[in-house]
Amino acid sequence: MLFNSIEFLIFFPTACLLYYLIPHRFRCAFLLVCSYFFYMCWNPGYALLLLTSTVITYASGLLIASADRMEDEAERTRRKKLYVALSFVSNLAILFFFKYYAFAADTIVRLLQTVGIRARIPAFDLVLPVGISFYTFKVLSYIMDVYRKDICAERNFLKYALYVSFFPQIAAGPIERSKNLLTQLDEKHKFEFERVRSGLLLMLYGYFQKVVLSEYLAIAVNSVYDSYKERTGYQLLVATVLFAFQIYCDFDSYSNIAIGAARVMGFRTMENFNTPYFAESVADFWRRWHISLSGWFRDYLYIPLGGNRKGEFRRQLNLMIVFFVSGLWHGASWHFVVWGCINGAWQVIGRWLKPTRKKIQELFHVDETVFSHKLLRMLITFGLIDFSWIFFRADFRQSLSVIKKIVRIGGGWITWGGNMKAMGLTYQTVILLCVSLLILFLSDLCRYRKIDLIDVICRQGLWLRWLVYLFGIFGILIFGVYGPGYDAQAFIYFQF
Amino acid sequence: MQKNIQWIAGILGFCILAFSVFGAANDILRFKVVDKADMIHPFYEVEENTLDVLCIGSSHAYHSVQPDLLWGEYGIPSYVLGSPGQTVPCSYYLLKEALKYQKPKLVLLETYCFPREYKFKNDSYLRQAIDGMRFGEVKIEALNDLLPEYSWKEKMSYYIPFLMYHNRWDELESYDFIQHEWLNGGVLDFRQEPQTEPSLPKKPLKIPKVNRKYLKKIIRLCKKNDIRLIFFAAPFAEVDVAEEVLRVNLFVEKYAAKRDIPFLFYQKTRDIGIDYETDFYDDHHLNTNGTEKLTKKLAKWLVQNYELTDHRQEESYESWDEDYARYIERREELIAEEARD
Repeated sequence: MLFNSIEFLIFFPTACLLYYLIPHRFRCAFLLVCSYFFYMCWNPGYALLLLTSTVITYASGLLIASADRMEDEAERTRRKKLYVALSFVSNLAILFFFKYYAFAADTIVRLLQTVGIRARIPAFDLVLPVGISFYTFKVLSYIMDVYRKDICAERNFLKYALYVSFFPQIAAGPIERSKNLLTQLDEKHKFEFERVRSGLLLMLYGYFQKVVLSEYLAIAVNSVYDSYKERTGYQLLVATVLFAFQIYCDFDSYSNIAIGAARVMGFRTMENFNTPYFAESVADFWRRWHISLSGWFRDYLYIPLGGNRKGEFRRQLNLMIVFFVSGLWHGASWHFVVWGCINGAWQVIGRWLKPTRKKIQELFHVDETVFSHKLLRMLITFGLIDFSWIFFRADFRQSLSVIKKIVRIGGGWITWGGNMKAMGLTYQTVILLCVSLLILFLSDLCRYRKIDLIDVICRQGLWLRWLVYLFGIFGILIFGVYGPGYDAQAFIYFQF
Repeated sequence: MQKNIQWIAGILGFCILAFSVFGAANDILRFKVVDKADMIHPFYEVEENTLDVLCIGSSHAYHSVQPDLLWGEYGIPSYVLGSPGQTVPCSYYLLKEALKYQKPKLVLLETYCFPREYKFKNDSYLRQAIDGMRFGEVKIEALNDLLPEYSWKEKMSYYIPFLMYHNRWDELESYDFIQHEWLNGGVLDFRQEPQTEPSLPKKPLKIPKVNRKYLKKIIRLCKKNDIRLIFFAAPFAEVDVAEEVLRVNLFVEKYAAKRDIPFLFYQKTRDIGIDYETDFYDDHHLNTNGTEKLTKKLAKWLVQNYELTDHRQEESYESWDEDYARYIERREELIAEEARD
């Protein structure tokens, strides 16, 4: 069930209404049923995998907790490590089998071919279960937290199963930490008008990002990238810039709808984006983009690898490892790995160039605090990130062709209108996109300056509040891309 | 407690406002064919239980009968509930819907679509017939019957046409903001194309089963509501389906006679004085020259055969005089435009 489907628009209000009507003691079980129903709408079979991961990690959590009570320290550590290892291996094996098997088999066959060996590895026609990468990381973070004694192992299976399958987050995150969500499952949530309104407004903004912005940007980006060979460098350049906003709107919209939906029911979930394109360096970008995943990699991979505690070389190596794995997490394909590595490389190169940069700044007396300098850093960061997005959007060979064409750029400077038409946009849709991007910019600017826009709106007088609601609702209803002739477009991050 | 009442009242107030905005947006964005095929939606604007004559059928219906003229010359309040390619099943549901709001004495059913063997030709024609219909039991019944294989989700945009037409925002024209109710389902078009008169075949052709089934329903519905049903066949030129339609009309003669339904077969009686050089808009449809000839002939026949009151002096029908005045005004404009061209 997609957030932008008619089913969800029926399911969610019904689920919320019943949630507030039923007694508190049944709410956990009720939300669990809702979450499994939500998940099983894609494919009932997937629920078995979800349940398997849940059972394994639930049991592992309890075993780790019981091992914790052992007196012999060596045995305790050995047992705990064993349970963590078993939990990691089994969950990652499921993830590997469903997501990476075909990719690994293809890579091995190709490698063997290069040395003259013809090999055949049996193929399985597997459909990637929705959200498998998200919930696998979620359960693994739970295991690590129990291992590190950051939280107590959850004894109530229903509660734990709800934490794993919580429907706003199951398909595409945020990858919630058990510390935050599990503890909230016991809270008694009352219907509070202000909180529900705030959640609904966040969802409304998420729908605007998805149904209006992301969908119209997708028309332009897809039309260019789907026939990149016939496209001019200029069109590819514009499409690449637009893709940066498309993927941001698409993923941030999912997070906003998820966070808003959880807020309506009284849950406080973690932020997933914080104005990523205002980042002043690539490292800063990754502190603002997909925060729940970046945080996961930081806490459960980068720091265990040694983080920045083992010298500059290890630090840079660890960075590259993290981004290599991050690329692989995003998709079972080499172009995702290249994308990840480019992001890692930008940071490593950034560290190499740091002394030179400092010298130049001193030489020219550059004031780092002024707006122009910050803007320049933002633009350079955007350029570097957008360059890497090419490898995210297209496969490796296509990406190289796209870059070659963009670099050459010649022959592309035809009329503005002509280009827009060739990209599947009309004059009116270009205006709509400009206005929508301006709204996105202003909203992000508020977030960047730590202004809670929803709070500001809610504090206004009735006429202005209602005007904003009406503009939001009818802006989406009229200008949104939906209805017959359009399939509800899945969110880009669903494939991960 | 007071806070609860406050936000409940707020939600209700906002919902009312939102629905009003939705209604206005829906009206602007809904699909309209200028001067044509926008007959279903404006039907609801007609004051309830004021119509004496209701005409239903395809484009041939609204290219033959001009309600404003029927009013202007005979004081008969009428409406053409037509749509392009309207089939007999669609006509049945439109009639059923119309009878919720009006109690006409006579229902005129145009026969051009009688030979068709389908419930509707394509999605576009079906939408032009059904989209203008208000959401209600008739619409639900119609869509369940006409689109049995569609899921509830696929039918959603028929129940709420806004889902289909919201993306017209980038193609809105001035006519989307102007109401055309004054034509009362009729058409004004003086464009002309010389045509050839088709010859009348001899052998009748049976009405397809699907249409006989729905004709039975229409007959039953009219009887139940004490309405006199009248079939009529508008003239058309030599077109590829001319022979088929005329043969079916020959069958309709017998079919109607058997059921005591009057049938005005104008192409056979040739008593309107249609000039094939000047009275056609295209090979299928009459232009306003032809429409006016047919309407006047039809009106005379109706007045002679049925007890129809002339409502022209009644206060409650004043808006009909305004519609007629607009009709005459626009008619003169169009004639002047034609003369200039």
